[in-house]
Amino acid sequence: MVSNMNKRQLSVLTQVNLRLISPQVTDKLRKKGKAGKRLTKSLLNQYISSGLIFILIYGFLMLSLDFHKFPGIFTYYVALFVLLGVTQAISAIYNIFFEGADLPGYLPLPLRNLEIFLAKIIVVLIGVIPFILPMVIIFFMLSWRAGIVIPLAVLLALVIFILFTAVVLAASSLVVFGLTKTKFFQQHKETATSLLLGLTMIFMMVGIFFTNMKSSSAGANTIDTKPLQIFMPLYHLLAQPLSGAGLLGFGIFVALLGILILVIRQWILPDLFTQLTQSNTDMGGGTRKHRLPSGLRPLLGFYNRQLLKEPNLIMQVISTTLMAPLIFLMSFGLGGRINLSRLSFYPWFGVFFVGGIVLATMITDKVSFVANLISLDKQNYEFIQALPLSLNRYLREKFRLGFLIQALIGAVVALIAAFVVHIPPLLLVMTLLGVVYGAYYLSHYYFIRDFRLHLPDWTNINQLFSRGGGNFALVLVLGGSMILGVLAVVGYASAVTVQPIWANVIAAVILLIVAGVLSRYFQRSFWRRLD
Amino acid sequence: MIQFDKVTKKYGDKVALDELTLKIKSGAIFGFLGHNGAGKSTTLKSLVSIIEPTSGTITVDGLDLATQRHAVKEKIAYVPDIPDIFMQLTANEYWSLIIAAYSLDAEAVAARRQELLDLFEMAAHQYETLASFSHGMRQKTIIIGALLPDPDIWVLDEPLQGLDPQAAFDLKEMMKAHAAKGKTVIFSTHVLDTAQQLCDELAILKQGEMIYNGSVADLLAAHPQESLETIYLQMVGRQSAEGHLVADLNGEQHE
Repeated sequence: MVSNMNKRQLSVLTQVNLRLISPQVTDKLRKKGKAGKRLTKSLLNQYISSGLIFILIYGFLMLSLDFHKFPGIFTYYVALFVLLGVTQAISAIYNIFFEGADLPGYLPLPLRNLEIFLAKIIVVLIGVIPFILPMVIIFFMLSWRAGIVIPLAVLLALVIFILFTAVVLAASSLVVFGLTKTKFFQQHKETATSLLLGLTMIFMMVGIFFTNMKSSSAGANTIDTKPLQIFMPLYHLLAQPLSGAGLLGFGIFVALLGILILVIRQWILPDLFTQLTQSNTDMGGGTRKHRLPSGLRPLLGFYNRQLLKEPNLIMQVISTTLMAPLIFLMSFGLGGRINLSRLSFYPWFGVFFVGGIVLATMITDKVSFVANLISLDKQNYEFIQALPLSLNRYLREKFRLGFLIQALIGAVVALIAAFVVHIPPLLLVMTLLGVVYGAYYLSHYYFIRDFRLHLPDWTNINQLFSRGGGNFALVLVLGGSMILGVLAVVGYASAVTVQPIWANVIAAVILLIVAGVLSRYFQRSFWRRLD
Repeated sequence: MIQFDKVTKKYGDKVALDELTLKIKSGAIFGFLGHNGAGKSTTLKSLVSIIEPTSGTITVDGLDLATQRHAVKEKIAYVPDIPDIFMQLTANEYWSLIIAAYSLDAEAVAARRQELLDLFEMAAHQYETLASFSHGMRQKTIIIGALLPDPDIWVLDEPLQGLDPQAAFDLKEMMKAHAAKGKTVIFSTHVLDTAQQLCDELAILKQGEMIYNGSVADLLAAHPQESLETIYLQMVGRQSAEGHLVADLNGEQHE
């Protein structure tokens, strides 16, 4: 009876947590009328299909690779999936254990900690496994190519995958729960969380960059790279499980897991429940004693900067807005396939300016800082209207900061692009000017959109991102503008090779007219109306 | 003097405030009474520029709110009913923002600020973020902010909610002291005792309509046998507390 009851509780708690792991997806499915078991099933299907897609993509890529012959490439793939797994696990553990803030709600209920935590761990696993599932294929391919019979190779791959998942989860738990135990986290919750989530993202991007670089020449004429020694015991374990090196690899793996579990048991578990309930009920307070800027403008700037310390917003901006262009650029520049260093300032300056505009289009969307700055005010925005402050001025300060951030993000991406595809300095300046031009008008559009779809009473940041058209509309707008942008750049570049003077003059006139029309439109339809 | 002239606020078909016409004298403590949804907050938010009335005019000391909004705002300080605002800022940072918004000289208000900090026992907490405060402490922070400009008109929406007895007593004394200086205090409340203690004049609202405007003394004098609570409950649609049925439910008209 008791064990039945526990299973029932575990099932219900797992369903609750499943809704917390990705609130955006849950909201979207709810809007489609999904509820109860149908919602749970749909949520699970999302993860299953992600896993299948990952397996298909990577499985197809790996078919041509003989990992047994190329231990270097094997270790780089393992490194990539360790990074992917750890990033996903850290984000999932944080969202499920901390952002969900559901623990205080369980306290008065007759639930045991075991069921509560087990449900959370199950959901973390559901969130992480799809991203590391291709490891099963890699492990199997290595064992199979090393001459192990298929049934044994499958079994070995599965066992090692389970161990691998356990290590990733244990290491990630140690990072998250260890960090949240520190005084630094308790005093600077937002900053610490942003650092944690942001750094894992950066590590992942760097990992993808290096793995792509090392494996980009994989194929018929593949030359193996220097293996990452840290993952070689895993290679030996899968290639020759019963050899001395293989058994040593297994021993190291099990010992590593044992040490991680021991540290978690000794250091994390004893006061985890207290730590979590405290963190869940903490409203993010802190003490700040510093010399304040004088004057309204710096004070508003200071306040707006505080609003941006929203860890999930930062995470979304990095993952949604920055990842795509960065990965795109990194893949492009690999092996020096594109080298623009020989291009002269004339006649190409205009093409690079337009390239900057296209770049700004790629990084500015409804998830950007500037597209959410007004709604981040929550109830403050209403109160501000009661103060003797010009709303025009108040919003201009907000817009200025949002635009500045967009332009800076664009500039950073442009600098990376310049490094990757070797853009000459003067053409880089034109690209940066294009970024500023594009960021200015796109920031205007998304800032006004935030004003129009103002949502002051949001409780989860994902509610802000799902305003207006759905994700399909977002993809359509982004995809459409990117295609148009690329077409514009290609068309302009082709025209420059034929008629450089006329192409540049016509482009300049069009850009000036567009700037004039948009400036007038935004002034008349928004800023002047505020007065 | 504050004048509401046929002020109406509609949300679609729903009328939140129906042609409110009212005068509030300077130097008075004026209370708005009514059930939830009666239109108290809508009235106060219209006065402090948070809500734009659908029709009608509001004038403050002869200034039309619609056309001279900034000048009117400089005369008013507002304390919202839910003090969960500017949670990211410390109390000190919040007050600095208020000082800048009202274009006050920080040094000139330093003594007043210290006085308020001491009175509300907030000095030790001024460098802590509002997010770390209890409801009552946030309320105190915002009340201090509202009093820093020493406003001509002090508007408070349900101001005593969440305050400890000492802070509630101090706030009521401050409201009286503010009015004694010739300034106006306007507040909304559910608590009849508070209205009876403080108000020179009150307005009772029911479903967006004003059903009484006058002094508490006049209201009690008109019904000498009954308490303010009984009168109020009868006016807003319920019978006295002796256990009679709710008038609105059975559709009867009770005198």
